[in-house]
Amino acid sequence: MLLSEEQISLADAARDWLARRTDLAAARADGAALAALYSADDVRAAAELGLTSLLRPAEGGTFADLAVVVEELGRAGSPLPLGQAALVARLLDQIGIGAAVSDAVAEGSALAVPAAAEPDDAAISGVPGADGTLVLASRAAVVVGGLGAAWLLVSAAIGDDRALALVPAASVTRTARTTLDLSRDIAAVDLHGVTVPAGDWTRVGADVAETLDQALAIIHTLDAVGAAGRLLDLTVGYVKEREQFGRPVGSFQAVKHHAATMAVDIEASRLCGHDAARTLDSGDLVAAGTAVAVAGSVAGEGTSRAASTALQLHGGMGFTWEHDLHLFLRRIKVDELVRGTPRRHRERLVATAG
Amino acid sequence: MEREIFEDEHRQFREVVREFIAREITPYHAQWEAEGIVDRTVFAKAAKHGVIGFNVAEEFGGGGVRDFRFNAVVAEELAAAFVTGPGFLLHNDVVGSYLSRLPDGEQKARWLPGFASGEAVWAIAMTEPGAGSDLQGIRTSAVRDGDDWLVSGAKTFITNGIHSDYVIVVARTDPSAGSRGISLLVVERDMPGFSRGRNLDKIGLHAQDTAELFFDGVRVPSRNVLGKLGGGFIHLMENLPEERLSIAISAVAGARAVFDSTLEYTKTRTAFGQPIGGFQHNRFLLAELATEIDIAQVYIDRCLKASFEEKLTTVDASKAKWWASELQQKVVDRCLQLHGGYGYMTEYPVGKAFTDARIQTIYGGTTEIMKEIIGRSLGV
Ligand SMILES: Cc1cc2nc3c(=O)[nH]c(=O)nc-3n(C[C@H](O)[C@H](O)[C@H](O)COP(=O)(O)OP(=O)(O)OC[C@H]3O[C@@H](n4cnc5c(N)ncnc54)[C@H](O)[C@@H]3O)c2cc1C
Repeated sequence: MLLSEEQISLADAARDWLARRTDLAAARADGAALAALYSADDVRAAAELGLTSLLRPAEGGTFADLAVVVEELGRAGSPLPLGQAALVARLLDQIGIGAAVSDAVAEGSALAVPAAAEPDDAAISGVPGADGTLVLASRAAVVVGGLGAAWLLVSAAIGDDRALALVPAASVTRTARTTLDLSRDIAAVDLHGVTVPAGDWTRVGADVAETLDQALAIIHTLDAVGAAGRLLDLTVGYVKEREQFGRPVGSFQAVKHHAATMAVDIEASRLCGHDAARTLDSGDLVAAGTAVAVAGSVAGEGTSRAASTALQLHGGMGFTWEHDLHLFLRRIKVDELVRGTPRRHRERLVATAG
Repeated sequence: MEREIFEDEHRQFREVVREFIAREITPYHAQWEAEGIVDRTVFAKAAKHGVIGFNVAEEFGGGGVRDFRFNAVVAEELAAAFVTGPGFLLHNDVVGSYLSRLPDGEQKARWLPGFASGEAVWAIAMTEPGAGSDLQGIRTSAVRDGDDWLVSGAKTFITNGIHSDYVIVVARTDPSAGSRGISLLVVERDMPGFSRGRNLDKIGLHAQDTAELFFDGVRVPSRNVLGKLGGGFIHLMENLPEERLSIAISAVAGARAVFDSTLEYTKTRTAFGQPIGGFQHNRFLLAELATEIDIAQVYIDRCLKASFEEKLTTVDASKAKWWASELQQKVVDRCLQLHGGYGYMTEYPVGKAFTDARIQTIYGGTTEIMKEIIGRSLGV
């Protein structure tokens, strides 16, 4: 069994709630990507359901649980970066800074998201300054949820050491990125010269930085799995109804096989994704590194392939703006490529195998 | 690989087209995309420079050359410049092939001068809400009334749907005759009962107008029947190969354009101290794509040769269409990955191509329908 009974009810609860809350029309509006597409009320309601505190050590939540929630966020096409926020709350608790922010996230009065360099880019660097401050340099090119968040947890390198620093989002320059994805806000964050006061940052072990990277990769994998699952449902529904040549197009063998291949791709992606989350829960970061890389390469390409087939099977309809299909197709493509492309994940596999 | 298909006259024409695009299209393209439609005067401007209308006889104001290589040059240059707005290919290649074969003398005199000068924009309306892949399923009807036909029905996804002054409408003129009861009727802009829906919002090709068209008892005179009465389906079969070839040509050229811009990116962007193109994985991937694009090009050029020799078969055009358009998807997809984490930024051509190019495997006959046609020709 992939999921426990509790996880199944968690998934059901999240799915119901997200279905009621998510307004995909907002993602289709002009300039949608230029601002966060959710309200303070949405964040509060998510917190009330426990979705932002899920990973806090005191709640006993696991990455496996988070995986369940993130899959539902993808399925809904939700703009809420709840996986990222739950991750920040956990890390803050773990490293002993920003207790008030962690509480605020858990209560839903603010959102915090991680800001880390993309895997192919140089790390964000930090230099310890006077009075225990940390002065940051460079930028985070892609911060999912970065426009709407009140706080950023910056993953920085101090020489060979790692540090996490909590930065109020309003104190840095954030630029909306125009990406394929219209359903989530994505920002570039300029951290040049940002001075983080003592107490708001700390050196961390490589394991903490690694956990953050792996968890972020898992979030994008499962987000894509959920979105692709939604596309499979939409597609199967459509090909059963759409008639050509006097019969449903879903009755043609080629179409059936396309749908079956989508299902196989998505199921394989789902298994790898949940496996990665469980392995991360085990605390064995080497094993988790492998599982995350497998998930990233299998799911990255598998979910994208499924999304492309979904569009094909919708014919001309799939190319229309009004249809929800493209919102998921776009989101899946971005999920494939952020936090490590499939190629990058394969490289990591070679490194860990080696 | 050096292409053997073009002569000097095509190479000179390419310069003209390239210059025209750089001057009259590229500077306005982003604005047209924002507006959802091109400025229609671009058709007349293009005709003035011979970019369209060259395939019409000189006596009607055209260039008098029926040689699909010129069409290919236009398709390739538009793709190379990432221009998706002006419906030149639909007007000039697709409708052009119908108008070069079917009109009688009187119709030629009436229609060709406007077509050639780009003053009149043309469209062809086959698809209906209920009939896409299955063209025999069309329900738009034309009922005889004296010397005229009364056309009723709805079409959808019609390229140049807003700008068109003339629409070749595929309609059922004899409901009892199956595929032999389908004819082509030319509906004109001001005919009462003809109306247009909105310009459909699409996920790509934002500057291209695509519309629903409605016909409510539109009175179309007999002299506007194009080709043989009841021969509509055969005319479609005769002309679809050129439409499919046109899509295949633009698909290969589009793939090449994305490839070229990605190659440039992999040469300039560095990771771990070397250009990312230098990593063997990327180098091999680029090598594979370059190979496949060249191989596709050779096949397409062979089809092009068959076309200007009037020998292009439906089956060969179908092979070209599905293979080239699927290759384009693959190239775009791989190139997105080659941009590392950044290909999905829409400021990169490859990010934009991800949505613009996606329709190529669908319109003009889907990949599945192309394989149906090819498979049936194999006797299976
Ligand atoms: C931007 C754009 C421009 C267009 N321009 C024009 C135009 O100018 N004029 C015009 O007439 N039309 C135009 N079209 C319509 C286009 O040609 C149709 O969308 C296309 O032919 C597919 O038809 P459909 O959308 O109804 O898909 P459907 O026929 O409903 O197909 C749905 C899915 O079922 C599959 N399928 C259908 N039948 C079979 C089968 N027998 N075996 C296996 N699989 C099958 C298809 O491959 C597809 O994947 C345009 C469309 C778009 C999006």
